[in-house]
Amino acid sequence: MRGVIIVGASVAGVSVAESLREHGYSGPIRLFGAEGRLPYDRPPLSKALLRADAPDDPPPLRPRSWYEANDVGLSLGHRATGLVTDPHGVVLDENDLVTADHLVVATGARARRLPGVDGPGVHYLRDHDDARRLRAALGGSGRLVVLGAGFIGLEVAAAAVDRGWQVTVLEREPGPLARVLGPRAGALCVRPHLVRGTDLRFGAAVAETCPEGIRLEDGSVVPADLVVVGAGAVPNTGWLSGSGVEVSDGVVCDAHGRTSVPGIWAVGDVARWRNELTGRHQRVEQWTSARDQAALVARAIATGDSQGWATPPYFWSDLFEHKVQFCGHASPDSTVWTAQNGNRTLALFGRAERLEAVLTVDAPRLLGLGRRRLAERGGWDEAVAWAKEAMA
Amino acid sequence: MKGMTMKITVDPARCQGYANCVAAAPDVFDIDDVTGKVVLLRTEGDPGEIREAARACPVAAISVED
Ligand SMILES: Cc1cc2nc3c(=O)[nH]c(=O)nc-3n(C[C@H](O)[C@H](O)[C@H](O)COP(=O)(O)OP(=O)(O)OC[C@H]3O[C@@H](n4cnc5c(N)ncnc54)[C@H](O)[C@@H]3O)c2cc1C
Ligand code: SF4
Repeated sequence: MRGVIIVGASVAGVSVAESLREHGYSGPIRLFGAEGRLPYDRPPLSKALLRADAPDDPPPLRPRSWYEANDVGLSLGHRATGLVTDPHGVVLDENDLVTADHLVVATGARARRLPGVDGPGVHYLRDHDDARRLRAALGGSGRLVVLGAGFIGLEVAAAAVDRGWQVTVLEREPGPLARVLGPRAGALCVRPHLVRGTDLRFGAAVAETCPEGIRLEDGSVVPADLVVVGAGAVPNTGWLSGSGVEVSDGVVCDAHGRTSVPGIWAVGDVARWRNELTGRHQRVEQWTSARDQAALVARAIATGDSQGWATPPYFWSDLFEHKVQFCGHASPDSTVWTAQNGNRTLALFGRAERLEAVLTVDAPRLLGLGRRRLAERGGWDEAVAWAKEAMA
Repeated sequence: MKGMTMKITVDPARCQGYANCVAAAPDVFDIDDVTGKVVLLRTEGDPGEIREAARACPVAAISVED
C-alpha cells in the first residue's frame, strides 16, 4: 500500500488527513505544503489578526503533536511542481518524485492581482506573511483605500476604521458583495460601515496606482497612504498543467470530488465541485465547504463508499462587532425577502418556489434554522411564514 | 431510539457562534442572542442529530458521551 498524498497543507488538506484517520484508514498519509509554518486558519487573517493587540501568529489548525499522534507525515516548505499518473505521483521542488495510491489536490487559491496596481504601499491578503505586513502598516495612520467590496475588503476596512484610519472602499460593481449575494442584499451587510463613516463608492473603475494614491478610469484621483486589494482569488492549478487532470477555473470535479483521472481527487478553494443540492458547478471559496469536501473525499478513499456533496455552502464574516452569516446560493434574479428586528437582520432568497439562501446579521440561531430548511429543500412560502414569525 | 439521554457538554468559551449545531439539532442547541454563544436547550434528543452537531462544530465546542 502506497497510501495517500495530500498536496496543500491548509484547512482542506489537514481535514482530509484527519477524516481519513477517523474513518479508520491505516495506510501512510503524507501531507506536503509550500508554506514553512504549521498549518493555520485563514479567516482570522482579515479579522482578529489585524487588531493592534493581536497575537503575532494565527492559531495553528492542529498542534504539532497531533500530526505525530495520528501518524500524518507533514512536510512543510515543499512545493509540488508536477503531477504524474500511472503510477500516481507528485514531483516536489522540480526534483523528487513521491508516489501514492491516491492523490488529493488541496492547493487552494491566491489573491487576484490587479494590473497597474503595485508599489510599496499596496497590500494583498492571503497568507500569514501578508497579514503581518498589513498589520504593521496599519500601525501608522492616514488614508486607506480598499479596492473591492467583497468580504475580505470589507473586513480589512473595518479593522482599519477601528485603528483610526480614514477608509475609502472602491468597488466596480454597483453594490457591495455582489458576487456572492447578488445585487440587492449586500446593502444589509454594510450598514455597520456606514454608521462608522467608511466612504463606500460603487461603480468605481480603478485604472492604476499613482503617486497620490489611486487613479480611476475617469481620471479622478483618490488619495491614499495605503492600498489593500481584495479582488478575489485564483486557484493554484499551474503545477497540474500537462498532467491530464482537467482544469477549468479550478480542478474540475464531480459531486464526489473525483477529477478526470481516477485516484486523483481535489478539495477546497482549488476545486470546482458540483453541488447536488444547489445544482451549481462552481468553486466555493469558503472554509466550511473545504471541510465538507475533505470529509467526503476521505470517506470515499477510506471506505470505498462515496457520497455526493449535498450540503448548502455556508460562510460567516465579522464586520466590527457584527456577525454576518450566509448560507446557500443566491442568483441575480432571486426573490429577496428581508426583515429587521432590533439589531437582528434576516434575508431569504428564493426562486421557483424554493428557498435558495439565507442571510443573517447578528442572528446566528436563525441562520442555523434557515440552513436546516435549505438542507431539507424547503419551499419558499413556508420559509417566509417561518421568517415572519421568527422576526415578529 | 429517539429521546435517549446522552451526556452532552458544550464549551461556550470555545464556541464561535457558527450555528452548525443549531442546523444539525435545533431542538437541543440554541445560540444566545446577546453573547452569541451556544446554549443547551435540553439534555436529550435524537442521538443521530446530536452526534452530527458535535461533528459539525468547527471548533470542537461540543462533546457527547453515551
Ligand atoms: C483573509 C481571508 C479571510 C477569510 N475569511 C473567511 C471567512 O470569514 N469565512 C469563510 O468561510 N471563509 C473565509 N476565507 C476563505 C477560507 O479561508 C478558504 O476557503 C480556505 O482557506 C480554503 O482552504 P484550502 O485548504 O482549500 O486552501 P488554502 O487555505 O488556500 O491553502 C492552500 C495551501 O496550499 C499551499 N500550496 C499552494 N500551491 C502549492 C504547491 N504547488 N505545493 C504545495 N503546497 C501548495 C498553499 O501555500 C496553502 O498553504 C478567508 C480567506 C482569506 C484569505
Ligand atoms: S457549532 Fe460549535 S461554534 Fe458553532 S455555534 Fe455550535 S458550538 Fe458554537
